[in-house]
Parts: sequence; structure tokens; C-alpha cells
Amino acid sequence: MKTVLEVKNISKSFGNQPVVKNLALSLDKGAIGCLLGPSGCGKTTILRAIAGFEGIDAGEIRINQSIVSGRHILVPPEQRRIGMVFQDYALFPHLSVKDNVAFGLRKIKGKEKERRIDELLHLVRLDDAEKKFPHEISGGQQQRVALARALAPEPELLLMDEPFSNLDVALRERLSTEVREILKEQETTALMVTHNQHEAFAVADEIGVIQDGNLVQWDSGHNLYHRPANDWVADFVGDGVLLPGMVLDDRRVETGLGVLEGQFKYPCRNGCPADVLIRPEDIIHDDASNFKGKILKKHFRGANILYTLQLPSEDVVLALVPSTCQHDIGQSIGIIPRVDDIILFERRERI
Amino acid sequence: MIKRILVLTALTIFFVSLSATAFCKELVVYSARKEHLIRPLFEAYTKETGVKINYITDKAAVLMQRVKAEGQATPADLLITVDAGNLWHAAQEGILQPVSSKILSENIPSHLRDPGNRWFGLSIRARTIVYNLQKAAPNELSTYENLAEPKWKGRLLLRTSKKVYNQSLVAMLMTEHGEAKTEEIIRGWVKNLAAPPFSSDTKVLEAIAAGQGDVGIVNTYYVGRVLKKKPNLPLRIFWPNQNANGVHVNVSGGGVVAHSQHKEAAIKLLEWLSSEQAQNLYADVNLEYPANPRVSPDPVVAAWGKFKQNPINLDNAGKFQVRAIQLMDRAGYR
Amino acid sequence: MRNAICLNSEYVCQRSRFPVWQKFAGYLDTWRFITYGLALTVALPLSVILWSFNYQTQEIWQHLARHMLADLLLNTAVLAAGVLTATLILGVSLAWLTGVCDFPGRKIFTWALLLPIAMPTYVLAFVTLGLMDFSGPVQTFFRAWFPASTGWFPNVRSAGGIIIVMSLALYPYVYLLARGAFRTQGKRAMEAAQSLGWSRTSSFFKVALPMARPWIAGGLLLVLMEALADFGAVSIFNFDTFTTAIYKAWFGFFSLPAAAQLSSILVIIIFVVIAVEQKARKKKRFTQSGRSEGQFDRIKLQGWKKWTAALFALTVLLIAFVIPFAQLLIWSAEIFNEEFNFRYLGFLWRSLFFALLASASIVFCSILLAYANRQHKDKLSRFCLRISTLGYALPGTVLAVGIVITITSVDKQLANILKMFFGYQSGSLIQGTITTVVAAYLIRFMAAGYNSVNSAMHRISGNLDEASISLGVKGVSLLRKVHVPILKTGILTAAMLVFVDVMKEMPITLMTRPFGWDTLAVKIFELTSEGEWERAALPAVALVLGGLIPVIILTKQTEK
Repeated sequence: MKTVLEVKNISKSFGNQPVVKNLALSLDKGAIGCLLGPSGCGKTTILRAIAGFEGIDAGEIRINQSIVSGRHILVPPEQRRIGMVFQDYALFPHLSVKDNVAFGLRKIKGKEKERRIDELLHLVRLDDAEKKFPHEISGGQQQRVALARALAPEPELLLMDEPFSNLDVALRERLSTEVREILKEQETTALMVTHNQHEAFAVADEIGVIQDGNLVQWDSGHNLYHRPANDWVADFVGDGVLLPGMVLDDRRVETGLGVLEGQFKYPCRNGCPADVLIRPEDIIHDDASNFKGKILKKHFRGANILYTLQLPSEDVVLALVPSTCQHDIGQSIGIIPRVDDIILFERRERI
Repeated sequence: MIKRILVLTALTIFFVSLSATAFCKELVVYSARKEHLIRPLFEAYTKETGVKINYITDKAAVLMQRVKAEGQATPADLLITVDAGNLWHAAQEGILQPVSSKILSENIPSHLRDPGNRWFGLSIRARTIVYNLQKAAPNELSTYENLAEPKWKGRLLLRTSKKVYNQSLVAMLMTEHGEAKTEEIIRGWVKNLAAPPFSSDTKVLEAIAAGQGDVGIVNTYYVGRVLKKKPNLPLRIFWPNQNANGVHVNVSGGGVVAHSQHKEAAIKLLEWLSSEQAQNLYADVNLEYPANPRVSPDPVVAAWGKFKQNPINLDNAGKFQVRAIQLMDRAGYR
Repeated sequence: MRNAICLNSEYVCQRSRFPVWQKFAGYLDTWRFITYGLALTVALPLSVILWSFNYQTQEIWQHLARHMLADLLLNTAVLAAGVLTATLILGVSLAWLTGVCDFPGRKIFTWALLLPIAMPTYVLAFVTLGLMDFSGPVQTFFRAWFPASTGWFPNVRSAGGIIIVMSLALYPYVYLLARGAFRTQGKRAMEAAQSLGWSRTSSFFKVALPMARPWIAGGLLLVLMEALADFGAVSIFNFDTFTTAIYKAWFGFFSLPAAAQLSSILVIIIFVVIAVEQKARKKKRFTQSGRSEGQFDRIKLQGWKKWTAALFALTVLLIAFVIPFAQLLIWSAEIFNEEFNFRYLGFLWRSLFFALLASASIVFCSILLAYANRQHKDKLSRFCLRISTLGYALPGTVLAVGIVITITSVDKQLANILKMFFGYQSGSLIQGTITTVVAAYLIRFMAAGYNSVNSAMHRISGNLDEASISLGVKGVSLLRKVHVPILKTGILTAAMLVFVDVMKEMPITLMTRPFGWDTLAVKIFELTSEGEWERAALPAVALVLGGLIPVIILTKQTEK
């Protein structure tokens, strides 16, 4: 498998402020990667550095084995054979949709060019919009034009900067899956940047979680969710709480939910404190159970209700319960913990 | 709503009251002669007679248009211009009214005033030849017409034909020689130009002094001004046509406005301007010659020497102005 | 949609019960009143000028056509083409450099490059000639030290000379507007184009520049109008343009009708140019929907590029402002003792007074007009709007005549009314008052004020109005609390542009001023028409300084 993108230990500072710290990742051909993190964590800077709009202070970036960014090298964006979809799409308002899509097709002319444009418009399902101007089409359509435009010259690497953030929720979900399908069909290598984990899960094969300029974990969505590398990732990806507990032996941990049994990896084996990651789906509601949790808050989510429960031990957990069962705040409901993966982290002092 | 109307009315009254309205003890003069030249004059008049003079300066054609537009309601009493052509035109348009005044007839020579007594010259400006004494000699020079000769090729500098002084000069030449011959002369001048025509006499003089040309035609007072600032410039005045009709002169002068509300006071002002005490003030401040022959010019001016004036009536300058401009356009004199 | 701001018509709307009245009340809308009223005010002097076509002027036209018109039109075309090209290149390149790139001294150049606005074209003209002509210090120096070079120095009083002078004086209009466009959307468009394989230079020409087209066109239109209507600079250069024919017809041939007819042609040309440009970009939009760019990083120029950029900006600044201003200061110093007296303070004060008053009035009317434009987009309203801004296109003196004739007629009518109803014989009521002067400036400079306010107005969406009303803020409060703060930049820009324009204005001031109300511009005119350029330097310096403060405030605003 060819490695299309290789980022080796890059760092970047703006003035005295370090924004990217010693970051490394790689993408194989056809893979879709994603950089996930909160606002201001430096992910857009990383993307722009890969694109060539920013330089780097240390490390190197290679596209298809050729070095494009280094301490003393900066190959300009137009020579990197990348495609980019910007957050605000950056469609050229003075050109029609067709001309926008054709913009990057410099090397081919005439009939071949027409064919390629038609192919792309068909791909993003905008065959009828050829002659329209950007201000005459909707947000979702603009996003698809932006994608078509970036894909037209068959770039080695497609970069997308929060491509769905300007769309409403329903459109977002639909387009995320569509975009993934298109990219897979075209076998495009892509790297996306977003703060929205649902988009990341929907589109990407591998996701890198960025915290303050550091790449904390690079893994599939599934692993990020079920095997977070540290408590910060655990907190950031998905819902959940960290329940204080005591490791009893190599298979048991005592917590406010009782003793949990399972396989886990933890340096210390007996008698040391640890935090256990409890996801909402790890708590099952069972009226028959004697173990009760008191409802502090409830959050209706359509199919489910997310309850914040207080355990007898005074700890707080989240529970996801089908909404056919309705309970009020202040009530106590029976719960059974079913923790399939026991994830332990070092105990931290928390406020 | 009512409140707004009231406020608007109040504001309007306020602004209107900021205007200057003419009272009886005040005269209004529309002057094309520049403010720094007439102010000392009018201040002296006010001091002597107590009559206040309000004045507006602007280009002559603009002022005349204004008087015309104002019609019977015009506040203007006197119109003063800097050349005879505009005075002639003002009379033609009925802007000026005839004045019969013994004093004026005595003070101002007949060739310097309107035959119909509608305007009177108050100071004389001679438009004469000036030369660079390092590049040309007086014995080379003789007449305006002579400057069209081939010997002056590449040595002549002139002011633009758009300036009324040159238009009057050419009009007078037309009166003397007729249109055909004058056109020949002008074509000759144009052929001899060392550089395209200048926008002002002062620039012509500076160019001659710098050596861009050897000889030019200017109003005498510009020479006075330039030499006053830089006495070492190699410029000298030459009085042409002394064996013919004489040096071409023009006047700065004025007349009483046709619909003036204060005719008597205006005539008095005009008479005062032609009187001996005012004539010096009028002419000297700009190094011009007084129109009143009994008044002697400023010593600097007198030092340029006496010369024969062309006695053709200046209203010809106005009569032929349009034809003169057309002639200059045909001849390519910009 | 009913007006969000329904001033008087609410009163009428509520009172009227009959359908006929209600329909009529719709037309009695205050906004329509304002548009029609202002249009009428401007149209009157314009129609006076157009009325001139009633007069017979064949002889003059024949003479002009046979001997002059061809050369004049050629000269005018060359001048227009030259100035438009030069201001386009200068304005756009400098706007790009200071708006999107970074190079040494950029912060200073950003505002300094606007300074030439404060210097009138006619002042720059006489300073340049004074410096560069045959008898000036530069050529004198060359002749003294390099005698062989005599005759080899280019003729300054030529088409090339006047084109350079006008371009240096007028490029700031294009610079200002282009810079605004580039700052809001230039960089993003460039990045998109680069990501598609186009080099920086190609991207600039293919994308950033075309997207800035309406703003650049707006600036070029202002430049064109100034260049065509200019009389001061071309007379100093003795360069014959179409305007020369206008003044020749009037001052030389004593025919105001012919002059007015010629001026009407100028207006028609401008009208046509505007219409053509509007049509050409009808369908396209030039701004992107969606969020505008936030703070972005500038393109940092490296190596020889940044030094070239700095040198370029410095050179322009030097020859367009610093050196001419220095020459003015030197001349002023030379004649200071002789020329200066306390009356100069009076000239300065009056210049500032007129400028402030006119600025306030014009901005106020521009806001009203812009609102009216928002509420009513029907053909009649838009046409009236167009008319209201035409005053800029005419040569100053010709417009001034139209204004004076209009005012004197109105005066006569008013006097008649007074006489009839009150038996009171008055002199002129409005002529020679400050109101007249301000009204004249309004007619002349409405375009300058309106364009700035209108483009700022586009930023206020209808949603904002509705949100406000739902919170109980409407009518004049809506204007005050919500719109004005958003429009602040546009208003300030308009105010400053008008302020500087009025300070520099000459022919209208000359024609309409009350007795004893001479301004700096009037003084400059008096002295330069006598060829006394050195003496004119003193009021010129005061004029430039007076105009500098608003220019600097203007640039602080454009940084936002």
C-alpha cells in the first residue's frame, strides 16, 4: 500500500505561541483520515500546513514520498497536487457552477474537459445546475460544487476544512455519508478536519484526536470510542463519566456500581485507586433490580432518554434508557451495570 | 409633525438671516479684478466717505452671467473687469447702463472708454515685447508683426490664446490689418514658437529668463512683479510699433450695472476711482499705468520709459473677440 | 412588506379609511418624497443646462467641429484612457500590497498612500510644473551640471505630463475601494485558486481581481468623472480637452448655451458608461454568500519581493505627496512674511466651516436616500436616484451656472409671492446665503456621499429589522440604535470623502459664496490665475493640512 501523506514530527508556532507540537501521522492511498478536536486546538493549522498555505518550524511533510514542507522548504500549494474544500466553500461568485468546477482543469481541453465536468456534476448529483451561479443555489448544493471542483483535477490528496459546519443537522448527516461514498468510489485519499465527532465517525477510516496541538490518539472511530488512550479522549469522544474505583486484583475493580469484573490492562494490580470509564450504554435500566439510582437530570433525545443518575455512593453516572419508559426527576430507578470493556485511567483529583 | 415643520422653518430663517443683505449705505461690486488689488482701494473709499462696499470676485464671464440671471433683483451696483473685451460684451448684453458724467469724461481719455458711456477704463496695461538681453538685442526688434519673421524661428514664447489679453491683442491687430493679414501674422508666430504656449505670463517670463526662448509678449506689470522678486533676471521691456500705431494697450475698468438700486452712489464711486487720489492706488498696487493722463505712474513703472499708445478705441477688442478666437484656432495657436 | 421605518405615512395610513386614499397614501410615503425631492433639487440645475439645447448655436458648433473638435476629442480620449489605466494599475497594485500582503512599512503605507486625496489636482499640477518645467529647479540643475543634456529632458507640458499628474492625484479613489474589496474576500479566493493548481500571480488575475470588479469600477468611475470635468489642472498645463471647448464657448464666444450643450454631452457620456457597466455585470454577483473571512494571515513577501514592494509604495508616496508638499512648504516659507496675515485664519475657518456643514448635510441626505432605495426599488425611484447623483459628472463651473440660474429664479418667485401677499419688497432671499452654498454642494457631491453609505447599507439584512421590531424598537429608534452603529464605517467614509471634496472645491464656491466669505480654494484660484504660484502655496498648504485630518481618520476606519 502506498503511503500518500506522511507527516513527520512537525511543529509550528505563531510568534511565541506553539500551536502544533511534534505531530506525526500518515495516510495510505484511498484512506480517509480525520483530525478531530475542539476549536483552537490547531487542527486547521495542520491542514493548512499540509496544503502549503503555512510553513512549519520543524519536521517534514511528504506527499507521495516527495518532501513538500520542511524547515527550509515550502513547496507552494499550486504545485502539491492537492485539492481543498474550505469551510465557507470559497466558490468563485463571478463564475457559474460549470466554470467553478472547470477551474482546476488546466491540462485538459475541449471534449475531454466537458466530459470530466459532466462526470463530476453527475457524481455530486448536480447535473442541472451547470449554468447557475453560486448565489442561486442552496448551501448543500454549494458544498457539493466545492467538492466537485476540488476533485475535478484528480488530486493526490483531498483536504477538507470543516466541510459540513455551515449546513443544518439533517443535511449534515446525509452529506457526510454521501461524501464518503464519493471519495471511496473515486479512491481518493482524503484528510478532513472537524470538531464534530459524528461527522468524523461517518466519513473517516482513521481519526486523530488533537489536544492543544498534540496528536493524542490516531485510531479508528471504534477504538477511539471503546479504547480511548487517555481520560481526555474518553471525555471528548462520546458521552461518559469517570467513576472513581479501587483495583482489587487483576480482574476486579470496586466502584460505586459494585464490583466490576473483566479483562483490563492497568499497571497496578491490587489495592490502588483508578478511574473507570462508564458510558451511558453501560447502565441498563431494570425495574427488577434492587440497585437504585436517583434521577438528577433527564435529557429527552427522541428514541432514548439520557438520565443523570446519582448512585448510593454519591457518584454520578449517565444512563441511556429507551424513551418508552418515562420517569421523573427525583425518582429512583433500578439499574444494572453491564460494562463490557473495562477502561481504567489513573485517578485524578477532580473538582 | 407640526413640531418638525416649526423646527425646519426656524432653521430656514436662521440660515437666511446669515446672508448679507444690502442696505442703502452700502454698495455691491462684482469684480473680476482680484481681491488683493481692490481691497485697499475700497477700504480707502469707505474711510473717506463712510460708504461700505461689499464685493465678490470671480471670473468676468461668470459674474456677467450672474448679473443676467439676477435680472431686476440684482444686488450689484458696479461691475469691474480686467479687460475691455468683457466690458464690451457686458455693454452688449445690456448689463451696464450709460452714465453721463463730466468728471468721468474729463478723467478718462476717449479711446479708453465706451463710445456709449457704458464703461470706463480705470487703468492701462500695456501688452508689449519682452526679451532676454543675453540672447536678443533691441536692434533686432521692431514690431509685433515682425515676430512672425523666420529669423525668430525657435525663439518666440507666448501665453495661451485662451487668455483674454491675447484675444484683445489679436482683435486690435485685426482692426489694423484686416483678418487675412492678421491670420498670416499669427501663423508666423506659431511657426516660431520655441515651446507650446504657457498658461500664464509669469511662466513665459521665467522661461525666457531660463533660456527656453529669447523673446515673448506679456503685460508689463508681470515684468514688474517678476523683477521685483528676482531683480537679477536678464529681462528687458521693448516698446514695439513706435513708428507705427504704437503699443497695444488694454484696460481694467468698470461700469454701472443696468438694474443697480443705487445708481447715484455707484456713479460717485466710479468717479472717485477715476480721480487723482484713487488712480494711484488703483494702478500702482499692480504696477499698471493710470488711465487718467494727469496722474503719473509708479516710479518703477515710469522707469520703463515712455511709449506711444495705440489710440484705436478699445471697444474693437470686444467687437472682434469672437472672430479673433476663431482666427487663432484656425492658425493653430493654442 | 410594509416599511420597517414608516414615518409619516403611518399617520396617513391610520387616518385614511377609503381605499382610494390608502392607495394614494402608499405613494405619499415619506421615502418617496425624499427621493423625488432630492432628485428634483438636482434635476433643476441640470435641466437648466439641458434647456440650452433650445438655443441656436450652429456657428459655434461649426467652428469647433471644423478646427478643434477632432483634436479635443482625441486629447480627451488619450487623457481618459491614460488616467484610467494608470490609476487602475497604481490603485489595484497598492491595494493588494497593503491589503493582503505584508512588507516593511506596510502599516504606515496603508494610510499614507491615501494622503494625495487631500491635495487638489490643480495644486499638484502647478507644483509639478513649478518643479519640473524648463525654468524649474530640476531642469535648471541638469542644465548647470550636464550641459549636454539640454533638449533631451522630456516635455513636461504634454499629454504624458498631465496624465501622470492626474493619476497621482486620483489613484486613491481606486486604492480605497479596491483595498476594501481585497480585504474582505481577496485571500480566500486566492487560496482556493491555488489549491486548484494556479500560481499566485495567475490566481490574482483570474480570481481576486475579477471579484473586486464592482469596487474597482466604482473607483474608476469617480476617477473618470473627475478627469473629464477637470478644468484647473488642464488649464495650468494648457492641455486642450473637451472641457476646454466648453469654457472657450462660454468665456471666449460669450455663448453660455453652447457651453451648456457641450456639458450635456459630458453628462450623457457618463450616463452611458454607468449604464453599460451596470448591464455588463447584471447577472453576476461578486460577494460570496456565507461568512466573510475573519482574521487571516497576510501573505508575507520574502526576499527581493518585499523590498521591491516597499520601494514601489515609497516612490509613489514620494512623488504623489511628499515631494509636492515639501515644495509647497518651501514656497510658503519664502513668501510667508510677505503674504501671511490674520485673514488667512479666516479663509481656513471658512473652508472648514463649509466642509463640515456640507459634509453633515450630504451624509444625512445620503442616508435618507439609501433608505429610500432599500424600501422602494421601482423603476421611477431608481431613476430618480440616478439623477440625484449626476451632479458629480458635470464640470464645476457649468453646474454652478445651472445652480445660480435656478436659485435666482426661485428667488424671484419667492420675492413675487412676498410682494403679492405681504406687499413686502425684498432683495434676494436665498441667493448669497449659506443655505445656497450648502445646497449647491449637495447637488454636486451627492454621489460621493451616497455610494459609501449605500454599500455599507447592503450589510444590513432585513432580518435585522424584523428582529428589532419584535423587540419593540422601531421607527427612528430603529435607525438610531441599530442601523447607525452598523453603518458607522460607511457614514464616516462618506463624511470624510465629502469633507475633502468640499474643501478642494472651487468654481461653485466662487459662484455662490456670500460677500466676504472667501475660502482657501478661492484664494488659491485668485493667485494661480495670476500666475502667482509661489504665493498660492501658502493657502495650498493650509488646504492640504485641513484635508489631512479627515483623510487619516478615514484610513483608520478602513483598517477595520
